Amino acid sequence: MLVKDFMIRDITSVSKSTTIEYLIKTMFRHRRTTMPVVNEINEIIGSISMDEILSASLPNYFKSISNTAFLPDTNQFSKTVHKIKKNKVSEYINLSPITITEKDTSTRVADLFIKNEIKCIFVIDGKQLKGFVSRIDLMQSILDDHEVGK
Amino acid sequence: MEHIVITCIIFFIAYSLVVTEAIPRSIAMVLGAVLLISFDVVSQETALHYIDFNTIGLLAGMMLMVAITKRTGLFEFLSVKAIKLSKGYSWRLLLLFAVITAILSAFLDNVTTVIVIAPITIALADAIGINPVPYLITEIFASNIGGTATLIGDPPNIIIGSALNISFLEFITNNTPVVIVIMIYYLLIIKLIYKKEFASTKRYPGVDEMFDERKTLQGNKHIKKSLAVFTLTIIMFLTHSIHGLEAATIALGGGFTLLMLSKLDPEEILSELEYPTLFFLIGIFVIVGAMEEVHIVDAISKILTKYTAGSENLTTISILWISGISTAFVNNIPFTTVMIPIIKDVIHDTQSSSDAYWWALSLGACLGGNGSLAGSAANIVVIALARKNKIKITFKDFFKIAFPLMIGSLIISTVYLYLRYLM
Repeated sequence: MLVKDFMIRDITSVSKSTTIEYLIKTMFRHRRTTMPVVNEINEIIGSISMDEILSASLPNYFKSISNTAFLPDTNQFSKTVHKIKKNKVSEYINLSPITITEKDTSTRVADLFIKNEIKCIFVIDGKQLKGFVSRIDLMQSILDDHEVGK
Repeated sequence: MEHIVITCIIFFIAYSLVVTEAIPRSIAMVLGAVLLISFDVVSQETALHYIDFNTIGLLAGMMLMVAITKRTGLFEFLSVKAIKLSKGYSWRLLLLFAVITAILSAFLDNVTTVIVIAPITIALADAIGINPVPYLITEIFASNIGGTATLIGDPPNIIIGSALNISFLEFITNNTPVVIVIMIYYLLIIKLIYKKEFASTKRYPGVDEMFDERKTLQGNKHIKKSLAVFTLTIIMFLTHSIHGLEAATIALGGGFTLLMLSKLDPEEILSELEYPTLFFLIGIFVIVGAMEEVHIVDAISKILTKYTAGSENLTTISILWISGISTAFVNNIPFTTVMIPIIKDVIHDTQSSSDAYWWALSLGACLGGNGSLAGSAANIVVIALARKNKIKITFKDFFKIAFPLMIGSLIISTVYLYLRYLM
């Protein structure tokens, strides 16, 4: 199976100057946790995921303590989310997102998901954003394909 | 002659690279050692002869025990216990943090200790909205001071103990008394500097109820095993005179026994050993070995003997102060490794039988680490962690407090050495 058979042709995206607040709202509306970041002519220049936002919202010392169950919760997390919501996507952008083309295979996509520990891969043609593939879209398409095969 | 020049150049380049952090220190030292062998300054066989495997084995064994024990949450448990015992009184909190840091550092490596204590301190400060800086710098000081107390507390002691066959017990009886005095001196000065923060009545009510120490140990099976093996290992160190086992044998025995009992995957645990430190040491041993082979060490010790005119008092005090001031800025591991053969030569030349030189070297090389941010790995780790949490402690800020305090600790050590060994 090729990417073109199971990709989602949805090019919803954000720009570098989008605020974190708008980004979260967009993600919520589309039920997605990763968004492509594009320039004015719809070329992909990076990606931004909930991982980066969550990580930036948690006080850094949490990363240095292996089991944080004993720490008190003084709303550090939500306070920081409100603090950074006016910040721009450009502060947290990942400038080397994993991309594929429509001609890549499902096996290659599955391998990329696992190796890079990501949940969404963008499909491009040249630099142009064409859509994306998520883990569950991939799996459902494989199941469907098998049923067709019978 | 050309061997001397080559050795000097390689030593100087490797050492500068370590000091300026231009490349990682383990790479600089191991490549320096490889070059010395390649230029035939020393043969590989001679070079291997200079590597002190007792030091390497002891460090590796302790690293192994720490790698397993830190998974148990025991160190977090102790820190939270300190917070509870303080009942929220800031001065008591500082004392408890300092004591725990010092005691843990005396038996573990300093970095491991501060890596646990410092994040909890920052979390506590964040939770109650106070400035963590006085607490963090006290923990830095306590970790370096505590490390001075025992054979296994700080690498210079491990290297000195191993080279001179000084036992764990001797380190405790010789260094611990002065270490306690110095710790008290540091705490009193810090109380003076941060008068307002550490006024005896200053209290943050409710702090003791915010943290739950029982949750630090949740679901942990290895804690009893870790404690048992640790205790047994310390007992073995203390009873060296009875069984005669060397430190490396004991530490590796303890480490691998705990690894077996914990049933953890050796591949995973062993990969957590700090190989850069071990290779750094191997490189230094070879480079210093080459300096001995080509008689550079002789030359330096002759200068020292000439300058001190063979006076035991002057030599002891010089060793202490040279070590203290130098290691405030350069890594104390290579410094100690170079000093050991120099001091051995001085002892040989002056036919002195004094132990004071070694205690002076140990106190100077360990306490010097408190002199500046660059003085020891623990300092750098805490400052880096603070920065990541947007707490700024600059080199200058730290230096202004740390250097005069360190000089004070050298004065106390001078008095101690004089009263105990020289009078």
